Amino acid sequence: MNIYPMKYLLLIIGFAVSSVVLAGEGEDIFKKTCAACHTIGKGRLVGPDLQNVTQKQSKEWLLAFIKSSTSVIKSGDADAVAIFEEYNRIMMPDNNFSDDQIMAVLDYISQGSQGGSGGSATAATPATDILAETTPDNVANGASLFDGHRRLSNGGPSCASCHKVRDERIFSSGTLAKDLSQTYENIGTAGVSAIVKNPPFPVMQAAYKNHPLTEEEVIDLTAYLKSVSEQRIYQVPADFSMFFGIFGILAFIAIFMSTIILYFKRKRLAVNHDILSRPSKVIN
Amino acid sequence: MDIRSQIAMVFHLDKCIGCHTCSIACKNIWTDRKGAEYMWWNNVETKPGTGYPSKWEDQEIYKGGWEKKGKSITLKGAGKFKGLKNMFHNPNMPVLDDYYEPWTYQYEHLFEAEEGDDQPVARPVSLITGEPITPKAGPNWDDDLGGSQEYARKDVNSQNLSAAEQEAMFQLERMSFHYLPRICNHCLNPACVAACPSGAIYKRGEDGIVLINQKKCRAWRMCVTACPYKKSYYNWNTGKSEKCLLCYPRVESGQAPACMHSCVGRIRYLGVLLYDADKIEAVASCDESELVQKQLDIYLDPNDPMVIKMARANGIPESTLTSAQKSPVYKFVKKWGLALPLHPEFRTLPNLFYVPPLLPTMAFVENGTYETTSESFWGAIEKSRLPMQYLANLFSAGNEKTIETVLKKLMAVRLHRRNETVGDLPENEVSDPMGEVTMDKDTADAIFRLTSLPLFDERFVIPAAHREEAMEMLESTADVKGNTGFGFKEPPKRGL
Repeated sequence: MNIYPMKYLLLIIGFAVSSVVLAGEGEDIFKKTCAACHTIGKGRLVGPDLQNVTQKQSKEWLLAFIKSSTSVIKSGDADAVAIFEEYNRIMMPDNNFSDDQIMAVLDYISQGSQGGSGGSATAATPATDILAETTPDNVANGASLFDGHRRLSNGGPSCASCHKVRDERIFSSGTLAKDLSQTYENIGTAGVSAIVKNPPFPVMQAAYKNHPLTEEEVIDLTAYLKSVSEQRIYQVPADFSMFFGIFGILAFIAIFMSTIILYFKRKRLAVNHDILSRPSKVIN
Repeated sequence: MDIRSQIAMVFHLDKCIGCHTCSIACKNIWTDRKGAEYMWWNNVETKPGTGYPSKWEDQEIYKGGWEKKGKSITLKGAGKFKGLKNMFHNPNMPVLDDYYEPWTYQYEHLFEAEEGDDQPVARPVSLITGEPITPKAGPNWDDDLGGSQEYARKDVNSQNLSAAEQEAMFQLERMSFHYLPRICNHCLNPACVAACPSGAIYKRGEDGIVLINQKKCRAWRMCVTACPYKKSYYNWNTGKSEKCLLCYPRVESGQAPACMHSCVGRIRYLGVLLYDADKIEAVASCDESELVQKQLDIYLDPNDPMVIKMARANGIPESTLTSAQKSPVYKFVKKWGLALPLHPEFRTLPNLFYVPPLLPTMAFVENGTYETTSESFWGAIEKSRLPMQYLANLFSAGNEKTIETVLKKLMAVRLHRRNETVGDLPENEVSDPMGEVTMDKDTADAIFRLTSLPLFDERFVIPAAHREEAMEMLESTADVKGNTGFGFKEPPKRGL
């Protein structure tokens, strides 16, 4: 019995099924990952509107760019550099998707493009400006959420664990990720709130996967980042770098000296050192 | 009252001939391994002498044991703060040179040397580096050197004697020495257990043997410092500390420990003592002058019905009680009061007791001849060659009275037996010393018998091990029935 036809049949069925599944997956991925910065036919957000993007660029180019925009830009591709410059030099994070998954997303985008601007729904674009009714209280709340004085209600890590801002109120903050002082100016309310609510960056995604932020927290943090961005040129945060260096040297000397004092009356030699150090007559 | 049983020992120093058979027996069984060559879980020292490791008794150097602090005691060289301070560099710990660098001889060279003009020799090589060395120290390097400048005169126990006394100790024809065999004391208040940061050292509940769990040991070596007897050793090859385990696999099967079994002079006795664990802290932290007496008081009479009742209530098996009643250690330590702990001032309440040596009394040189005769047959105890203070420093925390009583008892037994076998002594020369220590003839005969003519089973009264009961305290054996048994304790490297 020849089993090869059977095998091919299975393969074909597999493809058919998976493409259906992947179409659904495309929408899923888009909403989770892309929608924070991109729309389909609803105008530019942090990144460009993706309507008809599949017609503007080749599939190979899109595939490479989505996988790692950084390397495409670094390779000097003219289109990529132009987009990078146009959108405030904000890097699109690398994505760890399979080719099939990216194709599914592109399929979803081209379907949405055909439907025109009123086509498939994109959740990210807020209908109104969420900062319209903010007060200084929101900014203060945002500050305490940012540096962790107040915990995020769903238990996510505070922003200052990784991020830094130029703000005198924040004493110490992380240097693991981007400095957020200028972010608001670059990407605006829509961009900031979208990223805070539904982060597209892998590390943030992992960190907030089970600890999403509430609507109020998103508003507070966006308002705070707005105020940071506006106020940053007036801020002179204390610079401790010299102090840490001098303190380190002084502490080292102090510990070193105390070690010498603490161990001054120590047993330095073997008890029978005199006997053992006598010259031996045997030549080894 | 919290009665527990302890396997305790008595070493009769008058009988020790310093042959080191015990050390060799121990070495052959336990420490003949890489990393353990320098260890002597059992060693025999010559006293006066500096011992092994050098000057181990000087706690100003090694900071071992406990010291009194307020109403209680603290470890002299370990504990939370001191331990932290010395975690990465512990200057109080003995270094290899304080023990000695172990060596062997290149015996093969005698057979394999190329033909030449010289006789081939077996050169000493270090067991640590493998390089040829010149041995300059050993575990008994000062063996029999009772009066040497380098060793005997640096004995820590004679340091508080007056210059004249010290001089007298080491004069030609007046000097003397005795042997001091030492193993782990399996103390009631072990400093090593208290000092271990990993909790790897424990005192076995059923027989009080102190052991180091080789899986838990993390090589902090605090036990090496903390043990005032320096009987915990660090194995540089395995990275774990090791110590005398009182041959517990032998003891559990009813055999005497190897050092005791092999003892040529038959100086060693082993048996059970019952003690009251509630009193340990009070005894360990009492005034130095009371230490010996209070320690002896902690051991209880195994024939007392009250003690037996409480012991049974505490789960001590019947066989252990029976052997406690026959224990030779109980007789020497409690009944006759002949044996004393070594250096009780370290406050670890050691369970190894020594019958102090009844050394010859002082001879003198008269008209150019060595004169040993004295007015009485044996000479007076007070005129011992070794100053009483020296022995008191060893065995009774400096209390001369205690040691003098013991020596007088030993002398009374001798006089009594001389009278029994030869009968050439005047009546009062026997009865006076007997009366002075209130000893009757039956007791003297019993001491004589257990000292010189004991049978093997009288010297070693080892209770049945009852490991099964010890296991039942840790886990319900019925739960694991059918799960254990034939199999591998450690997974094999390959196979199954």
